[in-house]
Amino acid sequence: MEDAELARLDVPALLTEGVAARGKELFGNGAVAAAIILDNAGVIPRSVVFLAEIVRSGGAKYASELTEPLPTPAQTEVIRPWLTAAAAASASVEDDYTVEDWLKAVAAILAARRSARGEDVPLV
Amino acid sequence: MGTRQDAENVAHGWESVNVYFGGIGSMKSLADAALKLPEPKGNPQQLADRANDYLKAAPKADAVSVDLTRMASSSLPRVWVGEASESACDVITAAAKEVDRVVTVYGDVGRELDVLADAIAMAKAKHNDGYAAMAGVRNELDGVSNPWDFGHAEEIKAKGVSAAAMLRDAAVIAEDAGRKAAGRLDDLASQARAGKLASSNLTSVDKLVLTQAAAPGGPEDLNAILSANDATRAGDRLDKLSAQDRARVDSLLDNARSPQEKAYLMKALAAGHNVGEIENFDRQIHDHGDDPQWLRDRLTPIVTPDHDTTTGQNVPVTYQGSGWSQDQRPTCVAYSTMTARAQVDPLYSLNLTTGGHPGDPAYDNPQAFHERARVESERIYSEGREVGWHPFGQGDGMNTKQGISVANKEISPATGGHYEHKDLDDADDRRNVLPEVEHAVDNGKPVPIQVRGDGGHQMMIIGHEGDKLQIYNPWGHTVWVSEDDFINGHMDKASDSRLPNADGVHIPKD
Repeated sequence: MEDAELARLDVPALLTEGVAARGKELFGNGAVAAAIILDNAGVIPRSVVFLAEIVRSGGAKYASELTEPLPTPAQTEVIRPWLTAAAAASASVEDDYTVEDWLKAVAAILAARRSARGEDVPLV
Repeated sequence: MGTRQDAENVAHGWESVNVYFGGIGSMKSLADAALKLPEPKGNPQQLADRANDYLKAAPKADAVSVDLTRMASSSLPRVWVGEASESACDVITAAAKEVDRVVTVYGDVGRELDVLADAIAMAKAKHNDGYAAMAGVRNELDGVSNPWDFGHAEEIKAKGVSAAAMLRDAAVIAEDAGRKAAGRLDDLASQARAGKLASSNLTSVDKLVLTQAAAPGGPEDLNAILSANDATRAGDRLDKLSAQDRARVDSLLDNARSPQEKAYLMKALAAGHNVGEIENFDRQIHDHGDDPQWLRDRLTPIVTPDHDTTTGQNVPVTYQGSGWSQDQRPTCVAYSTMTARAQVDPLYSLNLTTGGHPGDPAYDNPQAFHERARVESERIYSEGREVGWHPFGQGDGMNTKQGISVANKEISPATGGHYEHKDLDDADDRRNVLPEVEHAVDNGKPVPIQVRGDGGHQMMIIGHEGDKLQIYNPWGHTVWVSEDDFINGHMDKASDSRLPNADGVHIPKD
């Protein structure tokens, strides 16, 4: 699939269907789609990793209730529906860890995209 | 569509009726729709009875609370001496507080149910009145013999508007009351934290002491160290520990110097830390384990000072009396999110407030904390101009062997995970590494892969199905290749003819 097609994937729907089952589509095309969308919004990998760590500590529901999960209102607007879908789909601590892993996978792909463009990949 | 929305639509329809143009027919349809609106659900008498049960139970619990408080403040039996005596005091004090909370909660639940019962009764009465009026309107419409009598039609419309408004109001009252009661009862249920700590590895006494421990500086019920969410997560994690790890946690809890220290250890467990990290954490706080204020300053950034819930009123977020956010820099958003993380992760909070050197005046002071917080906020949210890192090349993503070797060292910090790099010099190396690659990908961890030929390039292995691997190429596409392609130098299928060989991978480590 090409980036343009990937960016049109319904990420909240993939989370709804994929969190409990740790779905391959969620961690494959879904993670790439999320990385492309976040990249287009100017999000850096470290911000996503930090959010993933909050999911680990407090759960997806706790993260979905953060005032500003990402630095700018536009970025928050992008990720808010994903966190809401993830929180609704997460029924256990194990599910929260799945959401954490997914966000970290998104961050890794995001880092690879930025590197391929020759941009800085901020150190954690 | 919900009942309330249906009722609002019907009421709006009545208000919009044009009596001069098809008015009688429209009103008949609207009356039929109105008569189909369901009566608000709920049995006010049952709710009132249940409310009464709670209100009657509260004074009984209150008597127990008084006895326990007396016991906690008077001398204990002589057989309990030393540490046993201290523990017994902790338990009795916790039990007294728990029962005291039960008294309050039972009273609150009783009153909430009473309010709900009244609202449902009122909604039903209004609905029945509206229904009867609307049935009369419907009958009157059936009796209309002269459709051109617009004066009569206006009279019927006025009656219909009034009846529809009653039905709408009934639905609104019922829904509002239900929503408010649900929110308030949910809030009250979350106060039953001991019940949330559902671990089979803790006694009831353990649960009581742990969930009652509070940070000082405000009402204990609002400043419990373990929130309901923390208690659920801690219980879940405790039950999944190995027997060996469980024994290590028991040892930490047994040696804790206060209920607060114990609660912070459980909170660390809830936050997802492994037992080794929690042991290290306890080494850092144990000397101050009997000093709740010291613990609160470094581990709980937000303390609720009172029950005042006035909206728009700021509660200071402090460390040793100094605010977490010093000024209105562009990083204020980062501060709010950092605080949110610190509130659920005491290890993160301790590192931020003390730099990992609790008690050392060089690190454990407000100025040093502010500097660490500033650096942390920039670390999380700023572009990494201070590092200027270009690991995988420029422009089209092609680079040299030298560039890739830099990437080998730096990929781990870039993604926040831990990776082990493996050089892949030949087909055997690639064949041997495949199980590890596929294991990582199957567990949701993308595997960075370097390809070489005429230049170098970095891609990600993101999926695995049978004998195929899904590759994401940052040039802008995903593609499947076979294991044979990966092993035998056909990775050009994922990029182009210049880059046929898988030259190295970064294996994510747990």
